[in-house]
Parts: sequence; structure tokens; C-alpha cells
Amino acid sequence: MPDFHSPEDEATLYVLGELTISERAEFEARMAKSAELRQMVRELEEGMVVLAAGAPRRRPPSEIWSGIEKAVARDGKPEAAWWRIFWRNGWAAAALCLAGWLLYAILLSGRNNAKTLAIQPTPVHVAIAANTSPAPEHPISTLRTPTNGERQLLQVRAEEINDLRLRVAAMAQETNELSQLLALERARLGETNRIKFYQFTSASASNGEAAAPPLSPVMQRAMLISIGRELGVLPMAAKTHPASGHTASTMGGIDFVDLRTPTGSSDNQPANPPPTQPAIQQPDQLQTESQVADLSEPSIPAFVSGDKLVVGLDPSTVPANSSVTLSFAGTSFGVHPTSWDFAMGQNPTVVTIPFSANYFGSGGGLLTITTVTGTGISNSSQFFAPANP
Amino acid sequence: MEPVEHQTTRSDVSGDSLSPEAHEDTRLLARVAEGDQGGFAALYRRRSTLIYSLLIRMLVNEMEAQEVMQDAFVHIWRRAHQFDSGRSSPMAWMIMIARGLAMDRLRARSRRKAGHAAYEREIASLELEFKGRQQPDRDELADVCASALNQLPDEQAHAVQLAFIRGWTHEEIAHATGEPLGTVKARIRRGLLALRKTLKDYHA
Repeated sequence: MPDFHSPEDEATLYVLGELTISERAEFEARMAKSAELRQMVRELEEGMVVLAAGAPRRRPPSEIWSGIEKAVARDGKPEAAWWRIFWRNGWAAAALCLAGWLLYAILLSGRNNAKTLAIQPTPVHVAIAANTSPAPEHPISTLRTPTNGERQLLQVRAEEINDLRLRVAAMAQETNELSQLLALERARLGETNRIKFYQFTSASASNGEAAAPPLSPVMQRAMLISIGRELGVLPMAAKTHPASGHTASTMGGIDFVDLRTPTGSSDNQPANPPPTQPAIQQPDQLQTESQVADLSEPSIPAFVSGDKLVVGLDPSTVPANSSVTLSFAGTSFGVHPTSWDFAMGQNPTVVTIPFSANYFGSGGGLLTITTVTGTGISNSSQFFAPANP
Repeated sequence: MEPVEHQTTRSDVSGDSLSPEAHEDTRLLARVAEGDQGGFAALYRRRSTLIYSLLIRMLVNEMEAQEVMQDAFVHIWRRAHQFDSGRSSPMAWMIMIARGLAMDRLRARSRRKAGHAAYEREIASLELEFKGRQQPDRDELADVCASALNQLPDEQAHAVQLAFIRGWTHEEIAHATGEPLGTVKARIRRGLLALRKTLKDYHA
């Protein structure tokens, strides 16, 4: 028993059947001596009963009782009641009678010879023997040793049964997994906003009102892979960057960077605060800001899934091999921008940042991307997506 | 012939030794221990629906639940003499037997991957089964107990259900949720005690 288990923990593990056989025996020995421990277990068991009794009611089919009746009939009486069975069936009486008869015979043999004993009738013995169950007609045949052929046949049958059981268990497992999957899919169907797609367009060019330009084939592929990862169809193995704590991976020539905190929480705190906070403007100010880059119809595909916003970046929006500060803010009053730093490589990059449903506000979301290239050229671009695309 | 079903009542799950329902179960178990088949049929009549409902919820598979149900009552028949009313309530004792057999089935299935995705899938599945199932046979006891479960904080309700119904270990839950083992242990223990208290308050 590990030392760190408190008595309360042990009692819980005991009730839930998580203790090993030796731990269980040791715990039961202590429980036998401790009224406090017994009370603790009893209280936990009562909680367990409430949990069991809360299950939606299902009436068992009648075949179950028939099966139980047959099994019990085959089984005979319960183990502890053997002496009662013994008595009820008359065997005890017969045994007592036999013992009495033997005693009588021994006593008699002290006085008479064996010949005399053999002819002594015992009326009591005969009367009680009539009460006992009839003996089988051919007792020897029921107890004969099976032949080798029969043994082999039995072994084959046992293996067949075992094999069938394994197959039934495998099928049951498959059914269970399918029903769980079905339950999950049903639950997902109820979530109307599980994955919501957005396309951020250059705020200076269109203010988010013009139709978004089509995505390049590379970005389409990048977003498809990220959706596959999000749905669990594709693996999400990623390494944690030692300096920043971000996780990153590459798949099919696409870089994936997760800028959420290492623990995966969505507490809206930057995983790696930027050295400078980029200025965030309201949409009506954007047209006049000179530092906003005028890229030729750039757009950023994105989707929201639960507590994360996933955005796809390529060289049309972010220069390769540059340091990037990504900042996101809702257009509603009171929603403060947050920002994250990462390094863009050569590949198109899909970035994941924390997200909360109220970030977009009623108007939409504003994505600011500030880049510094290796040669020291800095640039800042803003992209807008309406809250209801 | 199948015994006629017994409708469970509020006092059925009370651990109080004075509870008439617990007293009746204890009396029937004593009869079963003596090999009384009539007493056994009466016990089945009273408790079969509750135990079968639990097995369906644990195994999510009717065929397996039916096999385990049969095994459970045969075990009850064989081991009735081991029941000690000083240690457990009769309901808890019978539920422990049935759950133990169902746990064997769960363990015999392929090893689950107790990650975060599996955790979310199980929780979604448990909630859907709990809320979505049509319940023509719902009774007072089930309502009270379901209400007690609904009153638990989500984390507690999820942890106790995963541990008790799906057989996840404390370590598996801690791994899947990313929470310390001690937190999970305390959560499950408090959850079970809170369920007991809710019902006790209800009786009071």
C-alpha cells in the first residue's frame, strides 16, 4: 500500500474496487478493528447506492429470471446452507442412523459373534432410509472416468466456447465504441457553433464588407489539415518550444504553432508577451491610418472551435523568416486586445490562439499582424472579419 | 415464472438499519442464505430493475448487461450467507456484487486510451445516456437520486460517474483532465459523500 493514501482515499478506492487483492485484504483487516473506517466505508457505499439508483430505469427481460432459475437449480442450494440441505434431504438422518447402527453393531459385537450381528434387523434404520432421496440406478456409470477421446472432445469444445466468448466480447466492445461515437456525434450536432469559419480581409482595403478573395491551394490544404487535426482525424503530435513554451509541429509542409498557454487553458493571457503592444484601432479609424499595409487583396482564413481561434498565414500576409506579433481584439467596447509572439518560417503557418465567444463582440474581430524581417523592416497590417460571416 | 416487479421507494437506499426497506432486504437475504427460493424470487422482484438499470448504464450493451445480471443474482444466491448487515446495507452489498462483475467485463474489453479526447467522449456519452433516454419506468427513487447527481458541481459529477459507472481509475481521470491526483481523489470522495447527504436531507 503506497504511503500517500490517506484512510479516506483508501476507503474510496476500496468502495470503487480499485485496491489490489493484498491491499484489499489489508484494508479489510484494519476495517475489522476500526469502527471509524467501517463508518467511512458505509457512508461512501451509500453515496454509491445513490449513484446506482439514479440510473434511468430499465426493466430486465423475463429471460433473465428464467436463466437465473435454471442456474440456481443446477447449482443447488447456497454454500452456507449445506448443513440445512443435508438435513432437509434426509441425509443427516440417514447418517445419524448409520452411526447409530454402527454403534449398535460395535456394542453388540462385544457380546455376540459376527454371524449374529449380520442377521440383526434394525427397524429404525429401514424406516428412516425410506425418507432419503432415491439413489441413482447406475451410480458407477455416472462417475466413470472419461476416455481420452472424450477428454479431447471436451477440450476442443472448451476452446471453441472460449473463442466464441472472446469474439462476443470483441463485438460488444465494438458496439460500445460505436454507440459512444454515435452519442458524441449526436452531442456535436446539438452544438450549432462547434466550428465556425471566418475570413479576415485587409481592413484598409475593404473594411470587411467586400467579398473575400479565394484562398490559394496551399492555404486551402493548410486549413483542411487543421480541421482534420481539430476533429481528431489527423494526429496532433507537437513539440514544446523550450524558450517560448509554445507547441509547434510540421505536417505536409505546413507549420502548426499553438500559442495558447502550455497547459492549454483559455484564460486569455498571452503565452509569450510581446515586447511592444501594437496599437489597435476601431474599424472606423482604419481607413486613415498610414502604417496599415496595402497588400493586394490579402486574406486570412480562420475558424473558431470551442476555446480556440485558428488562423492560416502565408507569405501574402506574413513575410517568411520574420518575427511576428499577432494581436486580436473584438470591435465591441471593453474588449481588450491580447497579443502573442512567434517566428514565421518558410512554410505556410497555421496559428492557434485562445478564444472566447465574447471576443468578437457585435461588430466583428480585428487581427493585427506586426512583422519584423531579418533585415529589420517592420510592417503592420490589420484584418477584419464580421462576427456573423 | 418471472417475479412481479417491486416499485422502489425513497427509503430503499437508506443505510439506516431501521429503514423498513433495508430491513426487508436483510430478511430476504437471510432466507436466501437458507436456500429459500421463494425468498430469492422476492428479492429479485424488489431489486432486479435497479440493478439491471445500473448494468445497462455501465456496459452500454444489453446482451452483456443481461449476462452480468444473471451472474450477479447467481452470486447473490451463492454468497447470501456472507452478507453482514453490520457492515453494509443490503442494497450496497448487492450493488457491489453486480458492479464488480460489470467491472470485470469492462476490464476485459480492449484497453482504453484515457486521454482528454476519451474523457470528453465519455462525458458526452454519459450525459446523453442520462438525459436522453426515454424513461417509462422511472420511479420515485430514481428521480431523487438523479436530482442528487444533478446538484453536484459538474467536475464532481463527471468524476464520480467516470469512476463508478465507467470504471476509470483515479489516475486515468487525473491524466485525462490534467489535474493533480489528490484533487481527483478528493473530488470523488466528496462527490459520493455529497450524494449520500443529499438523500439523507431528503429523508429528513
